[in-house]
Amino acid sequence: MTPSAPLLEARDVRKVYDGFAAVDGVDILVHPATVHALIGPNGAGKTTLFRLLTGEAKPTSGRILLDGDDIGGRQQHVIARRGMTQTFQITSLFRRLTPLESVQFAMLAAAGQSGRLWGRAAAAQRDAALALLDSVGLADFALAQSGALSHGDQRALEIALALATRPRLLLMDEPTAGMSPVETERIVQLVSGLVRADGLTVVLSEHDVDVVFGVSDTVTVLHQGRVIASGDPAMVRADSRVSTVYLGEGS
Amino acid sequence: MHTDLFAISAEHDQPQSTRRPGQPAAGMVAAAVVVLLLALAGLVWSPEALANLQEALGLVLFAVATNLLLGYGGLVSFAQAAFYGIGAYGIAIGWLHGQLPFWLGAAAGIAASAVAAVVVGAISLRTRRLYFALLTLAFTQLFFVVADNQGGFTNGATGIFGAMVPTWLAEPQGGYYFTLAVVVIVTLACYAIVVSPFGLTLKAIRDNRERAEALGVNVFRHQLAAFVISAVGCAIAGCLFAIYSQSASPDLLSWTNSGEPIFMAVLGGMNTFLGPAAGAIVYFYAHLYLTEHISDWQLVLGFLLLVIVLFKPSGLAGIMADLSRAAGRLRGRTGGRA
Repeated sequence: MTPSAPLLEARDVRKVYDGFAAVDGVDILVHPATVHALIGPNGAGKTTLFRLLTGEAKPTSGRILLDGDDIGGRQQHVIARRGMTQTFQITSLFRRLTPLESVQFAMLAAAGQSGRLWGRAAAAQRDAALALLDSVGLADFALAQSGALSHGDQRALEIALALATRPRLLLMDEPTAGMSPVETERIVQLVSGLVRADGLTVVLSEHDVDVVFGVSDTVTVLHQGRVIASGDPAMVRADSRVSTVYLGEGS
Repeated sequence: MHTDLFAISAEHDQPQSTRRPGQPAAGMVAAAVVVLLLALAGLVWSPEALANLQEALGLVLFAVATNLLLGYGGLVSFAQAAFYGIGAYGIAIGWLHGQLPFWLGAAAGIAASAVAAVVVGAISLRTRRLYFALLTLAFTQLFFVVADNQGGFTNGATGIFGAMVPTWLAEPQGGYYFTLAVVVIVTLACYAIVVSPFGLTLKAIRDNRERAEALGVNVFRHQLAAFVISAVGCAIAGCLFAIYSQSASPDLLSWTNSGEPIFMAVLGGMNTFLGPAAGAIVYFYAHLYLTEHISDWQLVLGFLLLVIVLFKPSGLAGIMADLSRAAGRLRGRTGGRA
């Protein structure tokens, strides 16, 4: 990977809850058009760090920079409009909308047309929305009720919603949790295809180590709120500390 | 293709696979037939019957405008009566103090409602659910007290009565046709808003505001816009009341009056566009009939509300949808539902 200005950067961030440092002085550099994975055992601080990166939580100290700008304290919709969006670990959908409506809504929002009072929403970007649903394997369920989809299909819709905004930077919190191997494979292929072809940048936190080593350019391993290793997958896999604290445990 | 006016919103999209583009939905045709029948009624019905129908049509608009917030925005607002009342007071106060022409008074009342909605909305929409409902209720009470106490300006508890509308509007047919035209036009405008990208955004926020925010939508601004649009609709309905009754009084702004369009919407089916309109008609005539025969008419309507909430939350529209599905099966069609 050629050195370039990082798209997203964490500088010495700490997050303290009730005297407990869930994230304790973490530095991360995410370069454009790469996949950067955050892994670590339960309680390592993955989710907290993730919430800091998305701007959902404010760091106790340290800074989160998107394109060199501090996003600390910015509102979610402002951050989203700057090209950073996320998928949620707990599926978060528009349950009473159809997948087609949901994706059309996300596309309208990304185009700054969510407040348009004229024209029919049903006609807006319909073909593009259907094509996106097809690419995540939801073509047959475009007109179903989102809340009634199977768990795996809801995960796929979750990702389609994030992709519908055509983000530059996509943060995925355990994207394949609860998916079947086939569904996981489809999502991994889709995301890595977008990284190679469209220059999408992805940060993902993952439990499934196989998923991580297969798609990532950089893997950062967290343990007790600190980074214990960071680098390309082969290097991280070879790191002895990683195998003791994480890979050795349970898997 | 959201033209199936009586479809439950969750099922809105399903008919589009079976209907060719440009082919009008059954609900659209039914609505057009109803409007045609209403226009004919103006020629043949007695002045008394027309007066009742005119009042009912005003309530239709009140319910449809309120349901923009309730059904599409998921917002239970008790401020709608305040906006309704301000619309009526615009005409009445303009006439009493300024000798304003009727049209100017109406415009002033509607504009005042919009301004009030910006203030009430900007404060109330900072909170959620119960607190939102309570804040809107508190504001309505505030407006009520102002109307009730500022005797020099509003005539206080007595209200304002008099020949405040042009003669042709005070006549049964003139008033009726004008009301019908306004209700049809404003309802169509509301429908255009509901199916627009803005309408979709409202539904998305209703379902999951955090997700909408994460997708780049400023939830507060969209909800405030919906709040003001709904208030303008309610104020126009209030103007129609002033035309019908040639009066404005503080009880228009009482918070219990805010409950009525909510009741109508729930009765008719708040997840559909025209359900609340049907609810308003049924509510009005049930009220008319019950007050003549039963002293405790509120008990009957309260019981009805209980039954609907418990057993048929989709309201009359849900019952109609069930019936049309059953009729479809009788005719040997499967209906094409996936």
